[in-house]
Amino acid sequence: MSVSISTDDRGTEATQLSYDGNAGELLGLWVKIILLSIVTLGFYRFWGETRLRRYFWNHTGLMGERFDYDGTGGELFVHFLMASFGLAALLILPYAALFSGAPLPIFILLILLDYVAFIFLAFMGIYGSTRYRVSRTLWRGMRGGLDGSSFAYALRGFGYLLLAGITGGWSTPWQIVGLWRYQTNNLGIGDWKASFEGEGGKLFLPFLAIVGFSVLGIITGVIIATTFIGASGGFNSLDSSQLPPQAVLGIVLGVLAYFTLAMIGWVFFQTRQITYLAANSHFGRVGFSADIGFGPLFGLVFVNALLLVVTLGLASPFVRQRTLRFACRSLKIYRAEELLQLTQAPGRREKAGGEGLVQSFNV
Amino acid sequence: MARFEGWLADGRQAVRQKVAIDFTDEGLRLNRGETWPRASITRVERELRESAIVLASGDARLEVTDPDFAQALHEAIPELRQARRRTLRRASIATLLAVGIFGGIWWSLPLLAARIVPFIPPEAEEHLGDEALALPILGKQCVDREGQAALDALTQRLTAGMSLPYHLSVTVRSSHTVNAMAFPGGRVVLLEGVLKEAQSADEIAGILGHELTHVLKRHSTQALIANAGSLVLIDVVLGGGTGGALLYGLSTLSYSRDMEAEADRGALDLLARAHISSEGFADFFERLAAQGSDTPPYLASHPPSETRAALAHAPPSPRDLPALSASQWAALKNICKTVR
Repeated sequence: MSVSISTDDRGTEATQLSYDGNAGELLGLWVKIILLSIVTLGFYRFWGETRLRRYFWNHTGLMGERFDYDGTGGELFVHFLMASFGLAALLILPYAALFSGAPLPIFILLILLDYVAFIFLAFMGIYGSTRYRVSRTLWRGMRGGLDGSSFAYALRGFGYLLLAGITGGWSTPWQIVGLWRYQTNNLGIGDWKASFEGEGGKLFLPFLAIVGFSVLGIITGVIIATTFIGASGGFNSLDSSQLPPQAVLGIVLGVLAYFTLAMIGWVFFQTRQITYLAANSHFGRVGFSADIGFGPLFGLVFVNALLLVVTLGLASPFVRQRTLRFACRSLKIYRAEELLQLTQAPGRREKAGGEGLVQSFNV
Repeated sequence: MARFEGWLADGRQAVRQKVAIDFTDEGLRLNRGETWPRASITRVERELRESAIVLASGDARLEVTDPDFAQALHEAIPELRQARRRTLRRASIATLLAVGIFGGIWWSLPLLAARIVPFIPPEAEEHLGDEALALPILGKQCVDREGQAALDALTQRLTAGMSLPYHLSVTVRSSHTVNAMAFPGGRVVLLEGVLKEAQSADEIAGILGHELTHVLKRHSTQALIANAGSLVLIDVVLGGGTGGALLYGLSTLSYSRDMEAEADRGALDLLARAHISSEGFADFFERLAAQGSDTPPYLASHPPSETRAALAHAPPSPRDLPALSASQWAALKNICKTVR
């Protein structure tokens, strides 16, 4: 369908996604999953992940209707097995070549090629995983879908990665927007397609914040470290066990200062990025906005990182829930009532592949 | 039977409508019109505390909040609950099977690897061994002619009358690390460090016998297969990082304790057949063990076995002869005076 997007979203009343999950319930589910995973030597984790997703989807609502997730643990498991054996074959290939008479340089070349293949497969996995989850998502019986090909996405992703290598990372805004554009223009629910109209250049100025804060962080860190080292009388030897404690403290504080400032720059960029991507994404006549403040996002990212580090990753479901709740609160949806016009598009479920690769890579 | 009220999303459009639900012999009838046949109805699983029941038939969804509906549904379509039980039963069986199969493979990996080894052509292993010999950490090749002749004589004596799986190559490298190793394809390397550490040719004969047993039993290939297999299994069970673990495992190939024990027994056997005293072999270990704090590399890569403890007390035989003559031993010790 062709739709003109001329109306200003801000004038109309906004609808929001609701989220009513809570930490206590999630803890109960998570403990159950962990126990079952232990009992089954870890095999349950695919079914556990499915239950977690169902929990997140079912507690998210739009216009009084909950989302449904109808993927199964069996699907995840089969895809994981296929991906594992595929990866194992790739890994064994160089050794098989060596065994069958290839010289050492060929062996090393094959190992390097393996790494290239892994990066490429990781991109394919990311897209395949998104496609899988979208195609298992239902709202009011309408199923989501992601067209396009994982291969085309991976080609783009790989191309942008090369570009980032050539430009020393300065192409990052175009990379983010380019990949988002490909994915969004292929995204749909029912018979509707989403669309994105935006350009990487619009994110270049905010991107400078990352660069600026990183440089500031390096300068601050070096100043702090050298001040402390100077006060401690400098190095007498390069033996790390003989460093004066004051100098060690200075180095630690310097590194901390760098990371804090770099993270401030990164979070600031994220707020601009999310706002820009949301405002320029449309779904038929339905529009979006996500005006995210620096403080709230910094709080979210900081606490999430802390949770993961302190619990060695065990808190990941809670981190996911916090992020989801934040997203539901931040996203505003305009003219959502148009969604009632949605009609089903057949064959979405069947087209979706798996996400085994992503599981293997722990992406 | 009672009539219930529910919300229907018909799967064609994203609208919800209130419907009246009747149970009939065929299944569910909505608004006294359309019927959902029993066989087409499934329950939509939701991870929610609330008691609403969601049924699906194709893309259509029906949500009922009436608390009495569950009982009525169970009575009218009992196979829905049976389907749940069946899933649980299948899952339990599948879990037991999976745990059994993976446990079985894990336990039998060394045996499995030993069975696979005969299918690997020795030429392939020799090639792999040659590539390993090219590693720079081993140091330079020691090629003094008299020294090599002495080493060859000792090798000949230890392997006399045996059929070897490979074209054997025993060489010395100039690294000062106290160690010796058997690479795939019968490529045995003694490092100069171990020659310096040894106080008699008998000691070297024991060490050589140990490495030669690894060769005769084709341990390297067996270990390679078993290590790779166990790492793949770990990855499948625990998930994640398939790449790193496998690469790491292959690059830090080591022999199992069983193989080391077998090699120790084999060394004693070879020494006995060649009429060389095993006392030197025992002395070597005792001296290394007495070095204390830092575990010498040889002991680290050759974990002590019960055989080794027993061998210290092996009675000397009157027929024992020195492993090498005094001049041969001197030549071997100086093999690294010419390097390549």
